Order: sequence, then structure tokens, then C-alpha cells
Amino acid sequence: MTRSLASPLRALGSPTSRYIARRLVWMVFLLLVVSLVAFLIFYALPSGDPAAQRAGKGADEAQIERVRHMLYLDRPLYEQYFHYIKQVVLHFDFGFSYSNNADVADQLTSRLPATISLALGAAVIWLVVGVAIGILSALRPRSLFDRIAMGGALLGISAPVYWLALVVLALLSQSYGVIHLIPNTGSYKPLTQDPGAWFTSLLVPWIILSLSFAAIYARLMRANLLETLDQDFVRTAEAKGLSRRRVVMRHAVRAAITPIVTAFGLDLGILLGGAVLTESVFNIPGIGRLSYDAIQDSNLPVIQGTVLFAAFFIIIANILVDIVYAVIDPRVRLA
Amino acid sequence: MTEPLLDVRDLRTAIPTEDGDVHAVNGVSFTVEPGKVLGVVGESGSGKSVTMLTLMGLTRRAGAQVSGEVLFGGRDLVTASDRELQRIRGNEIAMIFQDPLSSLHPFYRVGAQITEGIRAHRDVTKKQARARAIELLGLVGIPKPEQRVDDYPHEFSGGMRQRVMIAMALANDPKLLIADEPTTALDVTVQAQILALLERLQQELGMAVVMITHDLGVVAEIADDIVVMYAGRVVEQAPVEQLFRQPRHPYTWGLLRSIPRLDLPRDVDLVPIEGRPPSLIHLTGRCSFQPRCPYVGGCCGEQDPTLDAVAGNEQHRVRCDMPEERRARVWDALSAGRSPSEAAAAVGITSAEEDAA
Amino acid sequence: MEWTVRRLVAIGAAGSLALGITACGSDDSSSNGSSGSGGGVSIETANKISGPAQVESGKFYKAVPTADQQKGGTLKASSAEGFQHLDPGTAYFQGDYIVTSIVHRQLYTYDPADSSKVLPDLATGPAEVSPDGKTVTVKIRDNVKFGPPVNRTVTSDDVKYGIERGLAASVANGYFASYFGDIIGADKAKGGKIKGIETPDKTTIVFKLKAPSGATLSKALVLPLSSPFPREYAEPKDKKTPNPFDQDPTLQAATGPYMIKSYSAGRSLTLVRNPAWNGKASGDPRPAYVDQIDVAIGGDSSVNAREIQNTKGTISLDPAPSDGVARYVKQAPQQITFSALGNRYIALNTKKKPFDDLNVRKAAAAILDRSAMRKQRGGPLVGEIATHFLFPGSPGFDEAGGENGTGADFLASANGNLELAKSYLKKAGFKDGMYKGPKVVFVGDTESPGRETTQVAKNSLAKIGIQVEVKSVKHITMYQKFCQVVKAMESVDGCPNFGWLPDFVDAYPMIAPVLTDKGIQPINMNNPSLFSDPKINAEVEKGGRTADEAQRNQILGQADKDITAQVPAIPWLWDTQSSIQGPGVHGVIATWNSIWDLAYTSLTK
Ligand SMILES: Nc1ncnc2c1ncn2[C@@H]1O[C@H](COP(=O)(O)OP(=O)(O)OP(=O)(O)O)[C@@H](O)[C@H]1O
Ligand SMILES: [Mg+2]
Repeated sequence: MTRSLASPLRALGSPTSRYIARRLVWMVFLLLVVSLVAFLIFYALPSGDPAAQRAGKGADEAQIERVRHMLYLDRPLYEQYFHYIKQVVLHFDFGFSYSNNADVADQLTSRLPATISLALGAAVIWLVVGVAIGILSALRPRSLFDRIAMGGALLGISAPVYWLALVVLALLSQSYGVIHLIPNTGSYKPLTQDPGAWFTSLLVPWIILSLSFAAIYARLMRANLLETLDQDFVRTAEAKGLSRRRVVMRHAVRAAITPIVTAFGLDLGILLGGAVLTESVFNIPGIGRLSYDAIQDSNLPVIQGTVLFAAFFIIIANILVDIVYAVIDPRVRLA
Repeated sequence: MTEPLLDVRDLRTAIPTEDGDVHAVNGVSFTVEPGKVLGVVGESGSGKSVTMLTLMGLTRRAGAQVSGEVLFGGRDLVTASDRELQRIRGNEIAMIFQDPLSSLHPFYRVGAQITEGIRAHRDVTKKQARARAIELLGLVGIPKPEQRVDDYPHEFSGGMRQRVMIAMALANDPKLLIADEPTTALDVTVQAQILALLERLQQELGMAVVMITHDLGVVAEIADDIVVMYAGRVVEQAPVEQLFRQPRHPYTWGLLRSIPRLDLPRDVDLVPIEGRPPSLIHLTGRCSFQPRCPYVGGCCGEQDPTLDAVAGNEQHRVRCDMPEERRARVWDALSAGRSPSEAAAAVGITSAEEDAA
Repeated sequence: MEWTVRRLVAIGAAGSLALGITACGSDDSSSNGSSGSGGGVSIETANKISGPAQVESGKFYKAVPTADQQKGGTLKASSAEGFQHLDPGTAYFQGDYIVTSIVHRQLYTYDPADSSKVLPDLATGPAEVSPDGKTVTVKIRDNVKFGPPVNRTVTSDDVKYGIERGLAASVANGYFASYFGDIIGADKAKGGKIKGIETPDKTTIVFKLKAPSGATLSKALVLPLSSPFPREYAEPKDKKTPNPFDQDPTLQAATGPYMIKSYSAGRSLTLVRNPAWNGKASGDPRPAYVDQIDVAIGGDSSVNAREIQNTKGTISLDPAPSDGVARYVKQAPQQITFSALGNRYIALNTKKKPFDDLNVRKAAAAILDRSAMRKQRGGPLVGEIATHFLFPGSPGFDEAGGENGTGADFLASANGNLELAKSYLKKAGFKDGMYKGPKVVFVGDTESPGRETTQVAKNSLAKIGIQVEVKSVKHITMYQKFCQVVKAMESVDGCPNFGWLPDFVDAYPMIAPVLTDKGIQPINMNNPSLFSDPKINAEVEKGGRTADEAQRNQILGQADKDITAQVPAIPWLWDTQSSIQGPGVHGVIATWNSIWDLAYTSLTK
């Protein structure tokens, strides 16, 4: 009756893999629903007429109709939708952008590495910094460190990313900062192409993007740990004569970190859908800016593509969170 | 007389809270002899747990202010360093707690939790520690211990979990085991099993035990001596048969009247006496039981009474100003089945209300 | 060119990205900074602009070509907005024109120093318009070559095909109907041959029109649609959707000084010299100084503007953001230049109560605080307060009254004139000069600054009792679901965020599509006033058919006056656009496009 949750890989054919398979099927269904909803919202809400928009303001009706036909917009709604889904499923073809004819799948996949770089880097920073500060604060509640850290966290949570980015640039920008420290925006290079430029161009965006998250995580970690430190099992660990460090790290933190895992998974999932402001200010060619522009332009194919990508990441993050949860907490069963 | 294993002298603990310092322990003294069982009774909030946690140094993290002495094996645990205390905890003094459901870490296998305690104090291999853990699980009566050692706490019932806790406590052959209401959270049949187990282990292993409980009935069976606590103080202290034969403190009387009997519902035992315990934040400096005492009329002094030996019996101590002769008459009346007010009237004490009127 | 949706959306986007700082008063600071006497550069706070006039006076950078410009180097350009369509058949946006105009040679081009001067580019001389206005003949050069992969000499048929493909579904040119629609056979064509475009020989192209609109057509031959496209190479590709030349513009066979080496939508564009181009030898007047142009797309226009200010050899292809304008004016006046762009007005629905009454319209115009509206957009730096529709620099502007206005008393005060407004309302039958009718509905923007300017208009009209209910929608929705749809206008009284840019340097495209019956069609129309005055319609049409420049401007200037007197819309701003460059760049403005002309721009040592 031993179980091997700690190693999902060993569990092929086990409840775990059946669970994952079921969740993946469910994901496909959810993605269909999401795409349908995005599709319907696009048509339900008054926004632009893509055909007229593409045809140009002087265009006559004949021209608009030609464009409408070209964009597949003259078919009944259900037909448009099925056509879209069919193209996505059979050919991984997400259509082309109304505003510049770019291939949406290309745009998404070529922008994904930047978004992943930005999100993952920031995530590592905020997780490490947030959790560390949260632990230190919880171990010395109401101490000077705690007060400064939590005060700082409040600031971090409320500081708008855009503003923060502008301030940091004004201080450190190579071209116009007080100290010429960080490279001009738009200097992002893919990791595979130029690791140095990749790192230097992303370092400040990482820090800025991670700041508010780090603040939230520090507060979350502190609150959880304070609560956990009062738990009976922590007292048991102390009564066993374990070292303070072991009591805190192995017993209290281990238990206090589970809600962080949930939050982390979801936050990362959402961020993989794109970080609009950070991407814009630092001109990192990621998915966030793409989706923002698409919404501004009523650019359905790009909206659909980015929404699907974002939904995909969020759902995957959810599944991973559940699996990680089951690994962390043996009471949780994947079912 | 042999040297006591544990000698607690005038222990005081104040825990800082937002509302002010909670004076949870206000000068507690008692001793535990090697191999003996000390029962500590008292209603909820009387400071039993805080006393025990304090002597193990477990109130330090909450910032408790502690004074007095706790002499154990020649050391004063109040002034001992964190390091020293760490070496003693779980090794020479072990403790088990009220709620076995929450006292085990939910994420670790029970075997790991036991071996962790062993390896914290003994330089043994993982394998040896594991073997010891299996042995201990067997000792506390867990069937198929070599399989269960790899289970998680949630896979055990409440009673089994308390057995695991006991196994964990016994891991390093402690000289003293503090059991803080080990059965309160369990149902009745399981309670009896756990008590029987503790009794058996105490006899087999010859360790001293401090058994904390609300329930005088529990200690009657296994304790050698009894300490009765109220509002952070010891109000009466005596060898077990003396306490039951001739209890001397009005609070103890109340407790004794509440020993569960088959004809009464089980939950009446927890409030033996009407009224609530006093606030431990603002101490009055008078007898803390006075506001609830049915026999208060006339005899109480302005000062808090001291814990004094009963005339002719060094081992029996009581903290009450009531004259000895009146005390005997009240207990006789109560033993005869009279209610406290009837007993008070019988010895000529007017009730508190009449007094006030 | 119209206020393209994309362009305004992009400005809106920049605005909302900048929300954080807008809240901290960045927009205010730009208007304050500019209306005050910032850093020794005094800006007139009167109703005059600071733009071209002060550019002339040398306070700001004068972006004209000089003789000492130098060849060579790589220009780094940035574009936060990015490009839409780089196919010259589809391009209909200021930013796209920057590229199409240097990759392709159109039949005609403008002298960058004087946009009233049309120069033959692919053509050898001026277009000949027949006396009846129904035939336009153009001779083209016989020594212009397509760049790779076509590498052959351009013929008249390539120009013909370039225009014909404008009607292909995958190209879908946006202005074809407005200026090329009268070509015989155009109404039936869908990308195939158009009968009315004849090519009697390899260097002659003749447009046969069903109406006498040749004069206007000949002026429209500066548009990118007149770029040659090699038929045999392009025709198969044009059948695909989306159009390969637009999706991957590196496929285009260039005739201009540059060709597109690489393009990644939303990320980057690289232009290099076109090996087939030989400049003056084939009659191209453009110097094409720089060897290469790297355009970085995306980012934040505010941050880009700051970086460019201090980065050598850079230039911005975006209109400068308002906070950037204020800073350049103070810190780098020799890196910013202003050029006239178009107009902005509040369109009033002339087919519906209460604005069907001329006197009510005059009252509304009289009370409108146009100065406060301009303040919301950024103050004097964004342009002059308008008194009629043709803007400074547009042909016909002087003829319409120029800076002094048309003489209309209701547009005399920039801040609004209550007494005058009341007097018009009295004439309209409201006894005490206060309007007493149902509320009027305006369709306004949810985005800045349209949102704020609408609010100002609402407050102004309230002073004479006209209560405005503002229906706030996204800018693009305002156009496409309301103000451009005749049916929707049945329940709308005004469109406060309308504006117009000319498609080419001429008065006709500033007036005909927006203030005559030409601008009214069921959807996608551009005349939300639904204004159609038979006399004026005829007048504008007559102007459009007049080939003689002076006469044409006289007629259209007069039409502007006549329209202004009818107040189908209240003009409130003559936009100027500000363009910025970094140190070490000699930028030259294409005045017809109100933004840099990269074929004249050079790096300095
Ligand atoms: N960490 C703490 N912070 C503040 N007050 C505390 C703390 N721990 C205990 N107390 C208070 O100290 C007093 C004594 O508590 P203690 O837990 O010792 O009582 P007890 O006799 O063990 O009661 P029970 O039978 O309910 O276990 C109570 O008033 C309790 O509220
Ligand atoms: Mg307790």
C-alpha cells in the first residue's frame, strides 16, 4: 500500500497518469470553450468592423465586401468558428493578423521565447526573494527588519510597473540615465543567439516585473509561516530536540509553502500569457504586447491566438500545481 | 529520600500578548521522583501546559518571561542555553501532546518523523534508526510496524497516531515523559487503551511520567502523587491516596465531585464549580479561587494564602485559609452526598449573596 | 490619407500605456511646460501655433535638405507603432508610406523642401490632362529597373498592373474608389485587367475616365498605388490570401533607392540599398544618403523618445508623445520639428434636430471653448486653433482666408462667446437665448485625449442649455459602429472626435470625402454631419475637375468658406505633428507625409 507520488514518472499507468490524461482531455475541452467565448465576445461587443477597418476609410461597399470575403467574415458565425478550429487543429494555423497580415502562429511561437524568458526569470527572483524575506520576517515578527520589509512590500505592491520602469530607466538608462548602466530598451536578443545580451537586457525587466510579486509573496509567506509556527506539529518538532534551523525549514516552512506553490503556478501561468507593460516599456518582443495591440485593434485572429495561448498556459499551470501539490502534500490524491 | 529527578521551584511564566502579559504560571513548585508518576490536574486554562512547555523551554520562542528554577539532572533549565535545551528535549525529557491529529507533521512518513528524533540525538545510521523506529512502533502496539513505518500520519486513526507520538517520545529512552492530556482528543475506548499502554510502558521502562489531565479519575489509577493547579498556581499537592481520601482544597472538592460516574452525562466534568477562572492578565493578589469558592464566608484573608503542609503531614500541602477543623466537616458533608451550599450551611457559612446583602 | 484607425488606436494605446504617468500629470506637464516660457524657448500662448512658424524662425529644427549632407552609414530608426501594410497597393498609413515611398518609385513625388512642387519620379514629365478631363496621359522613364529578384526594366504595363491589383481581394486598396474609381472598367474589375488603363507602348500609360475627374486623378498619382509591379512575377502571388508581398515584403521587387532586406512584423525592419537603383541616371531626384536603415519596432514611444534624444544616429518614426514634445522643446529644440498635418472638428448631424437648424449650429460653434479643447490635447504645440477646414500649408488655405479665418463671427473667439451664442439661439427661436429641447447625443471616446476633449465640448454646450449625453466607446467603435454608419447616425447628434488628413497635397481630398455628398454611403462613410448642400457639392466637384492650380485653389478655398458658413462641423484644431531625431542625424521631413523622408535624411559626422 505504499504509494509513489514523489515520483510521478514511475507512476505510468497509475492513478497519476490517468489523472493527467483526464486533465489533458479536459484542457482541450476548456480551450474550445475559451476560444468560443472569445469568438462570441468579439462579435457580441460593439467594436470595429474588421472588414471595413482593413478596407480603409475611403473604401466603397464593393471593396469592403471583397475584404470581408477574403477574411472569411462573410460566412455564418458557426462556419467561421469551425473553420478556425479546423485550421488550428489540423494545421496549427491560427490565421493571419487583420492589421498587418502576419501569420499568427509564427508571431506567437517566435515571441514565446521572450515571454518565457521574462516570466521565468522574474518568477525565480520573486520566488527566492519573496520567500526569503517572508521567512525572515516571520521569524522575527515586529522586529525592525520585519517592519522595513513589510513596509517595503506595501510599496512594492502599490508601485505601478510602468511608473517604476520609467523611474529606473531615468536613473540607469545607458542613453539618458543619471548613471549610464543598463542597455537601451529593445536590446533583447534570444538566449540562443547572444546569452550576454539576453541577460543584460532582461535583468532590469526581471527585477521590475518581479517586484510586486516578491512583495505579495513575502507577505503571503510571512502570514503563512507565522500561522504554521503556531501549529502543533512544529511544537512536536521542537520537543524532539531538533535544531532551530531544522524546525523552521523542514517543518514549518515546508508546510507553509504549499499555498505559495498554488499562487506561484497560477501567477506564472498568467504571466506566460504576456506581461504587457514590462514588455512594452523595455521593448521585449513578447506575447503581452502582441495581445494588447490586438485587443486595441479588434484584431480577432491575434486576439484568439493570444487568448488560446494564455488559456493553455493557465490550464497547464493548474495541472502542474495540482501535481506538485500532490507531491508536496501526501494527503492530496489526484483524482 | 532520593534526589528528585525534576525539581521545579517557584516557576513563573508571563506571555506577552496584545492585551498585556498573560501570567499563565504564577509560582509553581513541585518535584518528580525518578520512576514515579506525577498527575497534574486542573481545569482548562489553569496553566498546566504552559508550565510543562516552559520547563522544556518551548515558551521561549513566544517571548515568555520566565523566572524560578527548574532543576533537572543538576542543571537549571530556566537558565540553560538553547543548545543545552535542545540536547535535553526529546532525549532526556520527552513530551506528548493533547491532539495527535495535529501533532504529527502531515507531509512526512511516520518512520521519518521518528528517525529524525533519533538521529538528532544519536549518531546512528539511517538504517539503524529505521530499525529502531520499527521496534518502537511495535512496542507501542502498532500492528505490522515494518509496513506502517512508511505510512503518512493521515493513514492512521487518532489512537494509532497517539501511539506513534508515544513511540516518538520513547525513541531516546527519556528519563522523564511529559504527557499533556494524551487522551482528551480520543474516544473513550481508545482513551483506556492509551492509558493502559502508558502505564505498561512506564512500568517496563521505569521512566518518570508527568501526566496532565482534567480528569482526576485518570490519575487515580496511575499516579503516585498529584498536583492540583488553579490559575497558574498549585493549590493542593499530595500522594494520590491521601488526596482522594482526604482532599483539603475547596477546588479539589469540586474536581472530585466531577469524577465521571455512569449515571451522569460525560461532559459535566469540565466545569466542576460554577463561574469562570480569573483573568491571568490582571492579577488581584488575593486567593484566586475566592470569587468562585462556595465556602468563602468569613475565613479568607486579605492576602493570597501560601502553599502550606497540612499539620502532621509533610507530603500534603494546600493553599487555603480555611481552618482545618471546618475543612474536615465540609468534606464529611460533601462525602455524604450533600451539595456545596448545603455543606456550607451545615458548617455555618452564609452564602456569598446573603453575605453581600 | 485619413486619420487611420490604426494610427489613432496606436496613439490611444500609447496613451493608455502611459496611464500611470498621465495620472501623475505628464499630459498636464506637457501642456503647462509648453504654454509657459519653458527654458528660454518661448511659445506663444495665443491662438497661433508654435509649429511651422517657429520652425521657420529657427527656434526649432528646420528639417530641409542642404547641400552639405553626407553619404553613408546606418540609420537607426524606432517605431513604437510599427507598420501595418508594407505592400504599396495596400499601404494607407503614414508609417507605411515612410517605407513604401523609398522602396518604390511612384509616378510623381514631392519636392521635400516645398511640397507644393510635384516632381516627376517614374514619370518623365507632368501628367497631361485632356481638356475634357476624361483622359490622363503619363510618359514613364525607359531606364528604371526592378531590383532583385526581377531585375528587368520597368514598363508602363507594370504601372498598370500595380494599379489593377489594388482591386484584388488580397490587396484591397483603401483609396482606390475615391481617386481611381472613375477609370473605365474599374467598377467591374477584381484585380484583373482594367479596360480604361491603356499602355500604347512601353513608356506610355493612358487613363480613360468615365467622368471628368482627370485633374484629381493626376494629383493622386503620387500615391503608392502608382508604384510599378512586375505583372508576371506578382500576379500568381496576388491570388493568395494573405497577400505574400504584404506578409513578407522582402518579396517585393524594389524600384526605389532601398529594398527590404528583412521584416519581422512588430519587431524589426531592415532596409538596404537597392542594387538596381541608379539615382539621377534614371531621374530619381532623391540623394539616398544612408546605406542602411534598421528599424526597431515596438516599445514605448515615451521611452523611445528619451533614448533617441541622447543616442547618436537615431530617429523616431512615431509622432512624438506629448511628454516628449515638452522635453525636446526645452532641452533639444534642434532635434524636434513640427509640420502641418490636418484638422480636427466636431461633426454636427445636420439631418436631425436640433442641429438641422443653422442658427443652433452657429450658436454651438460660438460657445465652444476650442482653446480648452486644445489644452486637453497638449496645448499650442499640437497645433493652431482652427477657424476653417483647410489647414495651414494646404493648397486653398490662403484662398479660404488663411490665418485670419473666413470671417465667420461664431469662430472668432477661441474661448467661446456667450452673448453671440445666445443671439444665434434667439434667431433660432429660443426666446432668452437658451436652448430648451431634448438632450443631444455625442459619441465620444473612452480613450485619452478624445475623452477629455469631448468633456470640454459638453461643458461648453451646457452654457447655452444644450445638454450633451456622451456615449463613450472605443475610438475605433466610434467610427465603425456610429459615426461612419448612416443608419446609426439617426440616433446621434454629434461626433466630437473627428478629424481628417489629406491623401495627397491638395484641397479636394480635404473636403470632398468629408463634407460633400461624396462622403455619404451607407457604411464606411466619412461625412458624419450628413452634410450635402447641392450648391457646395457642385462647387467642390468643379474645383476637383479644375486642372489649373490657381483656379483650383480659388474654387476650393471658396468652397471651404461656404462650408464654414454652414457649420456642418465646428473646426477646432489644425494639427501639427512633431517629429524627433537624435544627435548626429540630419533629418528631412516629407511635408506631404508630415514625417521624416528617409531618402533625404543623412547622418552627420
Ligand atoms: N502562547 C500563548 N500566548 C498567550 N497566552 C497563552 C499562550 N499559551 C497559553 N496561554 C494562556 O495561558 C493560560 C494557561 O494556558 P494552558 O494552556 O497552560 O492551560 P491548561 O491548563 O493547559 O489548559 P487545557 O486544559 O485547556 O490544556 C491560559 O489562559 C492561556 O490562554
Ligand atoms: Mg493544556
